[in-house]
Amino acid sequence: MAGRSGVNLRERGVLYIVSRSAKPDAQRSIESLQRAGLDYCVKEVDEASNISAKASMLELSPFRETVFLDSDAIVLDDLDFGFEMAARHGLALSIAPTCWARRQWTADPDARYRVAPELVEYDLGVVFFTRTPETSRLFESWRAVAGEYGTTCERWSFSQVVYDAAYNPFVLSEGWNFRAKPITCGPIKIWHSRQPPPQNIDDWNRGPVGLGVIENGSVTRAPWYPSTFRAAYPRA
Amino acid sequence: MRQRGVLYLVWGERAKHEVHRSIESLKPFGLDHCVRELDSTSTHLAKAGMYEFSPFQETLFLDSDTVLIEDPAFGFEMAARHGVALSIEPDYWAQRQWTQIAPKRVTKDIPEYNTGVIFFIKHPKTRKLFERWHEIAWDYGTKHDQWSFAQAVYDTSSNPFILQPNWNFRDSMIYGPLKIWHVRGIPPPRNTEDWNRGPMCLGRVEDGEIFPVAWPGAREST
Repeated sequence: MAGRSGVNLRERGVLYIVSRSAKPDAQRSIESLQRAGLDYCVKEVDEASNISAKASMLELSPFRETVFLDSDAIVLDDLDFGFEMAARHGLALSIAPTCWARRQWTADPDARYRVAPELVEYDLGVVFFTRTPETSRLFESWRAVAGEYGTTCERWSFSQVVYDAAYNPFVLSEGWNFRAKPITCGPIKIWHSRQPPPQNIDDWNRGPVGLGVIENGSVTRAPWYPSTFRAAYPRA
Repeated sequence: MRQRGVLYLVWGERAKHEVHRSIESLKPFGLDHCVRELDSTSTHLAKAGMYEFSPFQETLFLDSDTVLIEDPAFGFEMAARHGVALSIEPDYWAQRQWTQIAPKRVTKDIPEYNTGVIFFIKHPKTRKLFERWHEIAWDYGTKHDQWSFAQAVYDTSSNPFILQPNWNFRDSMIYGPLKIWHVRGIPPPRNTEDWNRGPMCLGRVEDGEIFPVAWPGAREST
């Protein structure tokens, strides 16, 4: 299949956009792709443009079906469902742990614009997408405003663009972009942390779905709320 | 047809009693509501009929054990745009159903949605989703209606808008304002208003209050 530039596109793969300092992280992530048998492409960018460069992920991707991964993300399981949802709906990703984009109001008060009050904040460390006209327009709009909602986090401009475009990405559960929380509710597809994943993650992912606690480098089955949460999240 | 309102489906004495708490919580927002009393032998699977039960063009379906805390306008707005808006279930892999005895297994890797808070509009696309849900409601076990709903979303290639978990808070971890409290028999935390107006941070509920907790991993990245 030919892209807009006439260059032949590879079918499916992983895109990394990394600065020089993030390259060692990317190597760990690339090694993890063997599990899923995925092609990949690394695009190097200046340190200074690392955040805004994400808004160019569609342009930078050589694939027809792409999963963009942050360099500190590790693939732990097959990703077929994520690609399938992107094929159906254009884009698939997870909600951020900091799920309200309006935290921007206080986190970046000097930003030119404020995001709308109720917007969902999506995590842009794992993004499945395909090249539809709708996703192309979404990414074009995002690039146009990427710096307008602050320069410390690219998610806020993305959330605003999703809202402005009345776009609806398919939302994957947090197991697709697991941010090294102390508790998991089942399989972890993509581990997104510089910490190493639990040593027994393969056994955990193949076992029955349930609540697990991650501590001392492994994941173990745990009872449900509240005792598990109280132990894992002490008062600040 | 009435324009916008809250739908409850209740069966059994407990639900008939507890729904009053939820109805009371609608008053500050001036929302119309409709309570459909079902046969006492009904189960959660009856929720698959909510589309037909609703007299509203724009519906917020609420379980009887919910309390509306903040203005739900954004939820209605997202339903108007995308047909359906709801949150992902805290226990978010529908394939936990595989350990149940049921005629069918849900598709691998599909997300499980919580069906206790659902914004939806009357539209051919949403009707198709709810009709599919109704059609397969018994196929994925009787313990939970959510498994057949998740399968119906997949089968119909629907894409509901996903709201933050705060819109259907089941007393686990919370970041930001609490929109809808969904816990049976326990009142919303005493300091909910202060929490909702305060700076956004991660918290959980203990002894009737929400309090901040430390980010795991010293907030390596968020």
